Parts: sequence; structure tokens; C-alpha cells
Amino acid sequence: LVDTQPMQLTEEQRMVVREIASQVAIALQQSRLRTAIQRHTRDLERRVALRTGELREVNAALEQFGSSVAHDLRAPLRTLQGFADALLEDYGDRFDETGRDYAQRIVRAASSMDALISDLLTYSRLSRSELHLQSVNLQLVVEQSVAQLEQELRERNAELEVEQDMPVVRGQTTILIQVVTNLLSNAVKFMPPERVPQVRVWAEQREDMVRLWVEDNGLGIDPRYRERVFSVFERLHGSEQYPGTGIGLAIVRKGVERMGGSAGVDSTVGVGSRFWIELPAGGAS
Amino acid sequence: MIGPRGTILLVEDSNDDVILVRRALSKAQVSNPIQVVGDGEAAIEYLQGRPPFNDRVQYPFPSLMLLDLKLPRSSGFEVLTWVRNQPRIKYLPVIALTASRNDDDITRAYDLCINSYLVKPLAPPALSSMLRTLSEYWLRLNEQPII
Repeated sequence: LVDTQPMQLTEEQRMVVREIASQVAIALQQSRLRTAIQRHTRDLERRVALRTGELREVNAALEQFGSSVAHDLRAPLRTLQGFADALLEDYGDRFDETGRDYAQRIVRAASSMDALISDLLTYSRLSRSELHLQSVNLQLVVEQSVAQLEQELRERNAELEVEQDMPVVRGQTTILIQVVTNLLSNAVKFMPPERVPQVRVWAEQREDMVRLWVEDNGLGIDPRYRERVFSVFERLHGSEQYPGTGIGLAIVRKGVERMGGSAGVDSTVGVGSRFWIELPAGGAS
Repeated sequence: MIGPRGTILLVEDSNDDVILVRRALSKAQVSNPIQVVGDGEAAIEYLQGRPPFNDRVQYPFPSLMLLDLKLPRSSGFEVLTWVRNQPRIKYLPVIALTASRNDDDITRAYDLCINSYLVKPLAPPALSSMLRTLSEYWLRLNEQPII
């Protein structure tokens, strides 16, 4: 609106001008706020990138530290076990029963420690590594685990029943094999002494998830401990009776969680347990 | 340079491990002569026949090299790289005999053209058994390269 003549504004005209001025002021304010938000957002993104970079460095350093520690711990372990074994073999006849027993205990302890380091490494790698998820044939995974445990299954006269035609899941094969191996190994290990292990493995589709069950006729787990057993270093029994690292189930849970799943157990003390893992159903990746 | 009873060159820095490997080889009834060097530089000097390894009667060129990857001064990988860059020596069968089951180490070793990668077992009987199979395969079955 242009008027080249100076004039007095009427009340109505003044209202219009005030309205326009007010709108312009709001627009200006909004524009300033938008700029400020954009600046803050950029600043935040910069800070997040920095932190992420720092975290990646820390993670890489931890990974390096972890594997160096494991390697360096294994070297003296090998020496311990090697020479204890050599003592037994080469000089065993010069020991009495007690001497041989002492040497055997050293060997066993070294072996336990190695299993512990191995499981700790597996667990820590699970927390950090990149996962490549793809369609995984559960049947093959179970077969592989069973093959890995062949000797143990035979030694314990375990009766194993595995369902056929199990569905495909989305996951990572190596981790899944480790998970199922841990579950099967537990199933035949935590048994009352006189009972023959009977293990059943089957799978069921639950909407868009697949649940794999591993059922045993072992010691069972008290309801109090049903969640605790999945924690690191949680052991319910003495390591003399039932050897183990206390990390097996932690690996199971962490492993399936990293693949977008979950793990749990139903159990009755004295009767047995049913461990389950649930994973996204497979299909095209 | 390579006789019918080839020499095994063991590159290992830990004296404990040297004793255990020698013992395991003897338990495995592997009668091939064994030479030991304690670091990467010495390994290269041995292969080149430089002093103190210039007497090829006393220090024959090996038929097989067992290489620990974690060595002081010139890591196992550096030794391997050097070997694979030499005109004739590059054909030498090199087997990693190491404690590390680290995926990166395994990949790197194969990248540098290691012939085989073995992880030292903890139990001595397993080590013996491994070395017996190893020598049976690489020193008797395997066709030796012409170096």
C-alpha cells in the first residue's frame, strides 16, 4: 500500500497496521527461532558424532585389550598344564598316589581356566561385534550342535530326540550354533547321578517369531533363580559336581538378544527344565 | 639344500614352549632334526644362511618352518612377508603354530600366503598328536618344493 501524502490514520487503519506489524514480528521471531534450532541441531549432531567416535575408539581398545589379555593369559596356562602333564608322564612313577593327584589337580585347574577365558572372550565379543543377520536353517544349526557334542552325548548315554522340519529363523549361524550347543550341553550335564539324560528339541511358530525348546529331565531350577541363571558367573551348583564356567547361559541370552530375540526357562525342581529361545522368523533378508 | 630327512625350523620366543614342542615332537616319534630360533630377525638370518647360520652342514635349510606369530623384534607376519618376497625361499612351506585363534590374525596370515594355520592345543597329548599328523603330512606325504 503506498500513499505519497502524509496523513492521519483512522482507528480502523491503525488496527490494520498493528495487525500487519504483529504478523511480521511473529514471522521474524519464528525465523530467528528456526535459525537457532538449526544451529543447536547442528551442534548436537557434531557432539553426537564426536561421542560416537570416542565410543568406537574405546570399544576397539577394549577389544584389543580383551584379546591381548586372553592371549597373554593363555601362554602361562599352557606352560602350567604342559609341564604338569610332562611331570606326570615322565616322572609319575617316582610320585606316590598323592603326588600324582596333586599334579592332576594342576592340570584340571589349568584346563578350567582356559575354558573360562574362552567363554569370557565369546561373551565380550557378542557385546561388541557387528552382526550379519540372515536366514538360518534351524535344523542345520541343531545338527551341527549335536555333532559338536557327539562325544559328550555318547559318554552320558544321552537319549536325544530332535524334531524335523524346523522353521527358518533370522540370525547368525555361528552364534546360534554356540547358543544351541550351550543349551544341549547343559541339558545333559545337570542331571541327578542315577538318571539317564533324555532331551527333546522342537520348534514352534509364534506369529512372526520362532521359539526353539530344549527340554531335559535334569535337576530343574528353583523359581527364585530362573532369571539369575542367565547372568554371568551365576552358578547354582559346586564346580566339582557340575563343572562349568557359569557363562554358558549368559552367552545364550546375550547371543539371542543381539539377534533381536529372547531366552527363558520353565522348570520344575527334581523333574526337569524347558529352556527356550525365541528369534524372528526367517525369510528373505 | 633339502635332504630326505628335512629339518624343521621352529621360530618360537618362549623357552617354555620350545621345550614343550620338542618334547611333543619326540613323543610323536618325529625324528627330523629341529632347529630353533627365538625371534624374527634370527629366522631371516637362518634362512639367508648369514652368520651365525652360515654353516649349512650344521644349519641346513629347512623343509618346513613352524612360525609363532607373536614374536619380539620382527613379528611372525613380518617374517612371513619377507619369505614370500624372496625369489626361491618363497616356496618354503610355512605353518603358523601359535596361541592366537583371533580371526584377524588368521585372515592376515592367509592374506600373506601362509600354508597352514595351527592353534597350539593346551593339553600336551593333543600337541603331540597334532605334530605327528603335521610331520606325516608335510614332511612325508607332501611334495617338497624345489628351492
